Amino acid sequence: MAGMKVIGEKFKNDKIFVPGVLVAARAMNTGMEILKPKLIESGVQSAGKVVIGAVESDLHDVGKNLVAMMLEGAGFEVYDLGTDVPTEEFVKKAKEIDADIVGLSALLTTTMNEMGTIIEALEKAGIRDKVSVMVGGAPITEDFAQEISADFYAKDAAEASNVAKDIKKKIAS
Amino acid sequence: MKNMTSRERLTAVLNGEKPDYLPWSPLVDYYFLSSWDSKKAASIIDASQELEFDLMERHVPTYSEPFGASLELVCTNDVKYESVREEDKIFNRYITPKGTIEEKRVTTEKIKYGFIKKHYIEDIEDLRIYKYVLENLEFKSMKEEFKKKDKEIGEAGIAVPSAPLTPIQQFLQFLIGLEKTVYMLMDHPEEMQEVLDLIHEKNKECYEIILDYPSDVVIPYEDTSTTVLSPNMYENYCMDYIDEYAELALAKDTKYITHMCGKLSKLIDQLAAGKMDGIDSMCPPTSGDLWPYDAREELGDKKIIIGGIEPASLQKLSVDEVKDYVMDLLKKMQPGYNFILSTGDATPHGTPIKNLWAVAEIRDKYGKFPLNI
Repeated sequence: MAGMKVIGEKFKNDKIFVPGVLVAARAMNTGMEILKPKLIESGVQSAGKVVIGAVESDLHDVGKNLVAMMLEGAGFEVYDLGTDVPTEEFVKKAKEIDADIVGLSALLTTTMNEMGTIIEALEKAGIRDKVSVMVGGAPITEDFAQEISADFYAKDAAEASNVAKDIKKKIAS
Repeated sequence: MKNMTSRERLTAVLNGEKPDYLPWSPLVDYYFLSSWDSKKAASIIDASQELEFDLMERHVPTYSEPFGASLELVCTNDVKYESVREEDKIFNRYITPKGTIEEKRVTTEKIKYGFIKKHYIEDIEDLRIYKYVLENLEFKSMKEEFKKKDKEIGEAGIAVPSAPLTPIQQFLQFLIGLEKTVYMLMDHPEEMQEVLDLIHEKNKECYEIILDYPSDVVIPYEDTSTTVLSPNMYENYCMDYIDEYAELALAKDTKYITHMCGKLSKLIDQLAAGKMDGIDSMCPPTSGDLWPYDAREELGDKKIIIGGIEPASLQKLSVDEVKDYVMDLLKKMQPGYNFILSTGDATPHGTPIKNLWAVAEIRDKYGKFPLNI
């Protein structure tokens, strides 16, 4: 985890790039497979639970995968729903695991509006006040995030570690 | 008053000559056309007339993956290729005596060829099968089809053939995908390099064919971006190949312009040192990270820059905002040598027609060459 924090900083400062993050994340995951049972045994708590996915009709996964890796590296428990995820799947999973965060990714201008639909669905399901919604993807902007009432926006995966820190603070408060 | 046709205008810029007006040539394909009233624009040529832009029709006559080149792939000997459609899914397969590799795509109304859901190569065994496919692959020229399309376009613009991608981009975009390409380069460096070298040899065969088409320019759709590649990876796996292909094009008096629609600012030194004649689909923030006027300072005056308008902005902004955006861009690009105003990748599905007209209006009003706004 501490290693991924270093990777996150280097990534943010353009000292390493996506391929370097992928290699580090694979090393972390290999280590975590060994450590996870021991961490559970010793009662270590995760930083929070995250449901993440690319919205319906969007099959791009590079950015979403990177954010998931960054969040795992920051100690979050990540439930990755993959790509082309229907609205109801986000809601269902968020309810099922009592999620703290729902992370939404879109690369296409044709799919980005799905994000607003998902936020509305979380409202209708009565869990909007329990989850923080984080959005990102190439066409997404801070203005758009505010327009659809998302809680957090990361302009790229490099910002994900900062966003994770803000979310940790929000959960802790 | 314009005194050049669209073909003359584009050809002038590609050949380092002065156009009458700055060319306005958005990357328009069926992704955008599928959202438009087909009665008005059944083809990209119709769209160029209706929307008053200088047409550079891409991928003429086709785009044959995984090479991404405008020619026909022919399997020889005991290698077979099949493509099977099942509802919204397409399964593409290479069947060989060494085994079968399969790609799965999911289509949508807007993307008829679909997104790759599963790549051909998932492990080292698949890579070995693909190597066998490559050893039994030949290419067939589609020069006559190219000539036919170019004639059909006439003075509305030019047809542009697609050149094959660098070997690493074929891995990243079509054959393996990002994560597994990175891991396989680490886990199996020698075998990966063997296949990269083999693709490079096949690419040179493609260039021999494509550079025989009667075109002033070829474009490989590299989609270069630091969201996928590191500067080191670009230097190790792209630069030399691109330089070699640029030299092949130069020998045939053809411009070699690389399509690089992603984030490029961290690659600017390598791009400035590269032998390509220009960069296509240069994209500003947020989808990209490089404005053409910033790039111009680093790249020098000689490289052709095509792009400057972020596609997502073109779709989302109001008409007045589009006009301001384009005015500001033109002002900063003055006098406008070696520049073709375009979108920083494909014009999105659903882009308002009035926004495209707004760009044409500003170009017509202020785009007389050399720009003096």
